[in-house]
Amino acid sequence: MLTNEQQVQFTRLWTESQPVVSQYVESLVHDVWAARDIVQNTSVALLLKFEQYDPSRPFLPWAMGVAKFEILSNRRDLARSRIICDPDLLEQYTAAWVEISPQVGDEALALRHCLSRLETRQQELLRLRYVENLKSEDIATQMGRTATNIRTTLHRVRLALRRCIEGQLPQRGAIS
Amino acid sequence: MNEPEKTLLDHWMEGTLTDQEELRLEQWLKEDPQNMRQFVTANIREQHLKEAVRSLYHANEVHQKVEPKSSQSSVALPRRASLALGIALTLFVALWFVLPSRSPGVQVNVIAMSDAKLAGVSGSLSVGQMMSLGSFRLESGSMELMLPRSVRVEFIAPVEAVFVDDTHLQLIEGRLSADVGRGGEGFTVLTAAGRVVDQGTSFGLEVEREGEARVAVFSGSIEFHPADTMSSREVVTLTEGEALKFSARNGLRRWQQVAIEADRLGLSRVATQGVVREVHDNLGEGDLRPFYAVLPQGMKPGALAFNDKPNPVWEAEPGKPFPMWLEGADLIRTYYNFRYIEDYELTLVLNKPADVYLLVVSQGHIPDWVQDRFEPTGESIRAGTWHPTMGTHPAATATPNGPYLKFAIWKCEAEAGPLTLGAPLEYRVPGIQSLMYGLAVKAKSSP
Repeated sequence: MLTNEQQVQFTRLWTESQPVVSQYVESLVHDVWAARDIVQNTSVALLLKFEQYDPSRPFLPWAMGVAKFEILSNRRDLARSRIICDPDLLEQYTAAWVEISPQVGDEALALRHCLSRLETRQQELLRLRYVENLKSEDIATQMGRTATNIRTTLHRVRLALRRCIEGQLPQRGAIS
Repeated sequence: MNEPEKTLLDHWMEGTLTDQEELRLEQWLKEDPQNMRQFVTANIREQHLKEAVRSLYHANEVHQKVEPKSSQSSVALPRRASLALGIALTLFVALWFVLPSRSPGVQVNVIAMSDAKLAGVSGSLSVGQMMSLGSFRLESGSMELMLPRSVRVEFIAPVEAVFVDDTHLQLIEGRLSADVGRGGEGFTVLTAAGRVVDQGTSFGLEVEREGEARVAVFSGSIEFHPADTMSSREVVTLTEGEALKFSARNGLRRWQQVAIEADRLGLSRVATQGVVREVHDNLGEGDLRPFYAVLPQGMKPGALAFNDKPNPVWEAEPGKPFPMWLEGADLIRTYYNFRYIEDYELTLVLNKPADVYLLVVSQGHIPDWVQDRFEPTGESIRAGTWHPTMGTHPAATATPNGPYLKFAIWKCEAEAGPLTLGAPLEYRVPGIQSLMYGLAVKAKSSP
């Protein structure tokens, strides 16, 4: 049973790490609902194991390790099974995520700003892709274009966003 | 990354990799550790983009939903049709409350509970249990649940509520404290008087059945969207340290005194009849929203000092113990930004005789009312850390973590009933920086 102090500490650490863990899980598990289940199970597992956590060590790698095991025990997303099922690759992927994620964390704020500056039709394309979760083929059918054309446009939008973010970051004093 | 790998990455992100492509991607990742770094970086950026697009879209959606309806359409509607529509709506609302919910339920995890008795759930509840919860009634105790999208909610009995879906909860009666992490923004609690829409925060909400509702924000911010029945349709944003009462009968009013837990962000689990019955100031209801937090037995090292300051906490002075007679007193967290109001008054209504402790910055200006009614105990504690600019204050001591300020403890033996305190600075004194006082109350032990 956790003490009140431990519960407060857990809340603080998990609130800080949860966005990174969620993004990591969603990158590997294609099904949004399965990904949410895994994050939820991870948070419960972390809470139940929190007494074993060594506070002298960083919380994020520990949380990611638990999330990795939750993914392994929940291989529902067969489309991604090759990387998930290769223990070495999954280990490298997780370690790289822990290392790189904080380095690009500053980009998220700049990204929101840049996103609002896109043209309406570009925003609509991104909405279909990320809110409606449509694949390029489905978007193409809906917009009367080809899938290749949609992929190329998405590339251009991402590229435009990258340029915009890079232009924003030095102004914000962030690490580029 | 070359063109073939870019295509592989596109297909990976879309979830449309063929077996052959998956094999090629696997080989490419194994070729060079740098490839894995590129792959992970691209994936992190893709997740950032996905999150930002969804957030932008949901913000627009909320904005569109709360746009006031065109007044022309209601004027043009014939009176009889309006009446019929009104009756139909009333029946719908009545049925909504009376009939059991047909909500399919939301998957929740029980992460903590205390003497919880949940009506309509067979078997006993246990921590770690996952269940589908739609309409429910918590008859006793408290129960903390983890909802989808990193939303943690603690319910304090008696509670009657319905999970409409993952992001909407209808609270018919009861108290809850919600802690909403990133990804959970937009979590909405529906009450008879309006909707509380979370913006990534922790807040507490109390709802009386078909009556008044009260919301207090402990960190971050929320939006309150009044129901159609409210006289004002203006959306109100509340931030850290602010609270509001709302009801169809009385509209929106300030909620001045909020009982919260001493060791976590949340409403008090127990409706205490402590020594402090009431706390209010003379600033009125107006557009003000700040509240005073009352923490039963909350005065101890590490307790947050002010309601609108996230950092400074009360601590013992270096090398000294925390005064035993002060520890365990009921803590009243005052509002730091009221420090410059010269005619400010704060009234405590006490249930029984008590020692009232006033924590006044030292060295600093001692108002006349303090010197008249309080006695110095000769003891002091400190609060910190503060913003580095506070380092120039005469009461400040610099530490590697930031400045701390020393507060002298003054004491007044008060009888049951009202006790009115004054402003920290009753008039402008050249060169003196006003600083809000802290407050703690301890009931006198029975003879």
